[in-house]
Amino acid sequence: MSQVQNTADNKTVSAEISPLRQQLKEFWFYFSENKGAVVGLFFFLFIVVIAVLADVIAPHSPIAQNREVGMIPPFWQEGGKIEYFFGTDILGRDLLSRLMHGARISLFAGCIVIVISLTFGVLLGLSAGYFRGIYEVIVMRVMDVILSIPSLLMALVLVAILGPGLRNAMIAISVTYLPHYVRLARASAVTESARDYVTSSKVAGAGTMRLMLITILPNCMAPLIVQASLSFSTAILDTAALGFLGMGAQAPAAEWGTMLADAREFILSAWWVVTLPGVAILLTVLAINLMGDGLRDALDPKMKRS
Amino acid sequence: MATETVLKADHLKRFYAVKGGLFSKGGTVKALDGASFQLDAGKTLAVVGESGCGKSTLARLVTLIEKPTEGELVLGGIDVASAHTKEDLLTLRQMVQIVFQDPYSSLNPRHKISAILEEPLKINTKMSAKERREEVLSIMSRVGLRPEQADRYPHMFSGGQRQRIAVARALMLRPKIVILDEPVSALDVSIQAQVLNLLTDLQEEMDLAYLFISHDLSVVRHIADDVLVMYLGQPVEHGTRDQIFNNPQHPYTKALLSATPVADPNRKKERIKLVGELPSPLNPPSGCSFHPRCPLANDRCKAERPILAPTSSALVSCHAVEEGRS
Amino acid sequence: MSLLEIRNLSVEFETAHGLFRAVDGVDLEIDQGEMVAIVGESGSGKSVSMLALMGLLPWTAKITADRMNFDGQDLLTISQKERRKIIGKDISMIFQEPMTSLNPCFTVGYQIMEVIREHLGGTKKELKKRAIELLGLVGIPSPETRLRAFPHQMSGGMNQRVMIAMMIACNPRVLIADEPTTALDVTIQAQILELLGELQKKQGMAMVLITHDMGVVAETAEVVNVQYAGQQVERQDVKGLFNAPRHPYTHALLNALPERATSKRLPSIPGVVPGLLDRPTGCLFNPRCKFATDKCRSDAPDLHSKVLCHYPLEDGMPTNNHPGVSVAEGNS
Repeated sequence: MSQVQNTADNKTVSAEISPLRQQLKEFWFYFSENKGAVVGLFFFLFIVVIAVLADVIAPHSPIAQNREVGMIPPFWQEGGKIEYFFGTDILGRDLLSRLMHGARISLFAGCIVIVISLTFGVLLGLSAGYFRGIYEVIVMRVMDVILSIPSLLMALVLVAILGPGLRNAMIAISVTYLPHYVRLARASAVTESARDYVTSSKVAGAGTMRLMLITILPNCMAPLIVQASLSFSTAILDTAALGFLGMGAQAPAAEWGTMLADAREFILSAWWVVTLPGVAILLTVLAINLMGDGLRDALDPKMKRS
Repeated sequence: MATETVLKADHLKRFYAVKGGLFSKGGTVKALDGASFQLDAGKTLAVVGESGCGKSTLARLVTLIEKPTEGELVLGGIDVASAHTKEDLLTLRQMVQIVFQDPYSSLNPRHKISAILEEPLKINTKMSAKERREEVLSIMSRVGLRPEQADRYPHMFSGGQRQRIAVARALMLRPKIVILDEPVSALDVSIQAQVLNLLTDLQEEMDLAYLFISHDLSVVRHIADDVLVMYLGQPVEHGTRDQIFNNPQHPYTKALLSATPVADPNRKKERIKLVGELPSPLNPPSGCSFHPRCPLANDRCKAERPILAPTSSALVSCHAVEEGRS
Repeated sequence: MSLLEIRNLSVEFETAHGLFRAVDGVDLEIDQGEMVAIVGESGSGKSVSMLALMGLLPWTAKITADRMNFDGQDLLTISQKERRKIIGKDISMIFQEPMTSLNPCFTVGYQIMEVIREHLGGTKKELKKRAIELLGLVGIPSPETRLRAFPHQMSGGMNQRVMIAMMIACNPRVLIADEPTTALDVTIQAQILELLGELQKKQGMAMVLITHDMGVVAETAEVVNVQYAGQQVERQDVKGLFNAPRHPYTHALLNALPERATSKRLPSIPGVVPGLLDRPTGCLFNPRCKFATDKCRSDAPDLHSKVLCHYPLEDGMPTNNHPGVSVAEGNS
């Protein structure tokens, strides 16, 4: 009899769909409900493609100077040339090519910042939430101190100590982002640690490392991914800001912030050298933020409609 | 079948220190205050009581998640307090497993069923991946799950199936004792019957000893051999199922039985009405902790704490019963 | 005419996997001073149907009904404003979790007085007097001091009493209790059920009790609606239901209760309540029913019959010329 009963019991979930595909399908259902997010996603993908293929599709070298064609306006204005689509800067470098390569630097910087801050933030936050006690107090108070200093100022101070340059700028920005991840990871770890499945792993004899990394961590990831996608845009913005202040990527690198800084003196005479990098930053950040919103709708179970 | 005592608890106590707040002073919560019992292979001991009676604390002590503050706990002949060698600890751990109440929070949502079931083997044995997989599949089929379900995630299962998975995980190490912490109270009636049948079958087949923690007396009556009734961390009555259900002695046991709704509209019974709330374990009443709600309480009950003593029926801790006032 | 009358109520939800019909053609009729219980397992739509009546469902829910009358007023056509006047005043609802139903930021007294002021008005002094009266009515000792207590300072049972006091503050004519005692301990459950029964008699309220606990139903209700997978499968008075259930589901459900067991093995119902993806054709219970025939697998029984079954049971045996009453091999 128990045999009969069991087969009937099992019939219920017999719809054979691979779990990953089903999860993706569900993810897309909630994600695509947010139209802005879809637009953001496609624009972001577009920028990623440009960044990856910058070497191939850029019409000119981003750093090659050509004094003969300096300060050409975009092609639709009088005096513009079609081979310099968005015009050139004072040194005759093609603006479109520089923007394309700039996308590469910006996305790269954003990624590295996220990876560094996410990794260290998760490690610190997870351990703080798991071990609790005095260790947690120390970690969280240090994070509070970092949070209490304005982030750009903090980054500036750090770059001043480490020395200017793209690499140090990325490290500095990562440090200023750390507290957000630590707090999120700690909060999730505290709630997850109290769940029954953690206890049963403990009863099965799982050690500390296993409990933290294999049992608890995967269940803390959703809010962290959302936070990562949202701070990706701020990371790009901060990298540009540091570049603009001369503390980030150094000339002649085609970084959007640095481009802005170089073009500052021509703000009245040649609008394109200032406006176009600014627009690039604006659109990229906007796209990523829209995408992040959709990601939160789809991943955050608290907001999920059932 | 020769009965082997697999679990022996003697005056188990577990106290928690509570930190004082800004305006309140700290204290000790006597979550479990002296429980003694023993459990034989193939038998079921049910621990019954309302919230704050210490049944969950008891589960945490027996599964070795926490250490008792006082008292002796012997599992399969090994005294837990004196077990320090790696070997002893491993044996102890393999001996006791637990099934939780809520099948939705007791399975890791990010792990596949096979990974969840494999974990105890991975940690405690030196089996190869292939052997582990075989073991997982054999236990799965034993609890009524199909092999292809091994690679699914918990959210794809219904509550009853999840509880089957939780039972399967508890059986992976072939334990002698399984703690069932309200294993069916989160399930619907029709599913509850399926899981109870499964538990009964497994017990017969594997000679398991169950420590069955529940507040649902009708389920306890169905599955238990012995019953321990607890109130505020202390056992108030301990006897066989028939003694507890047919001839309850302690006024709390009587009240509990009469408060349990019976699915029979024709049986209008006299209800013993308990007044008042369950007291806070932080600030338990003096003497017998049941006296503020007890219809039989007198001055002695307020001052002196009764101890568990044999009566004509079960072991009862009550002055009124002892004096024949009931 | 009944005080509250609902005909053919259906609720549908839009989900990632398509339209889900949580409630399917449910009827309810209740009169002054009556106690109707709605029983069902999880997924039977018992709470959803009442939430639909209260207008408490999220916007994704599509609610349709042929009729939804309260005291001669048509709840389907009246304006939102008029509806709000009825809901919360004449029809009120208590929920399962007393701890989360009360706002933790305000005192119990403030929350009760807020409810009275909203619907009936009055000076501060009158409000306070009425609040104390209500707390006394639901059996809370020393109500004057309790007014100043916050929900977290009281036990679950006390909070549920406060919830009940709030809900009967405006002398509602229909009280819907959604699993009011499920989160409480057995001895406290007995107290609350008794209180609800007393209040209902004293105030002549109509009461709808939503529960999954057959024991609670047997001890409190007069009329019982059994729901399964969103449909009403059986409606009977309580004695008839427990002595001679007519739908195979009710029959099997009662047999699965441990207290009715005759042997160590319980006669369980195989399978689970169908969800969105595995809704069977024909009668929704047919995959789990031991009496199911080909007719059950192809044709759905008429939704508005008293027993939603092609072969209603009599003495545990199917009627209406059931093809093979050789069901001895079923569960034993």
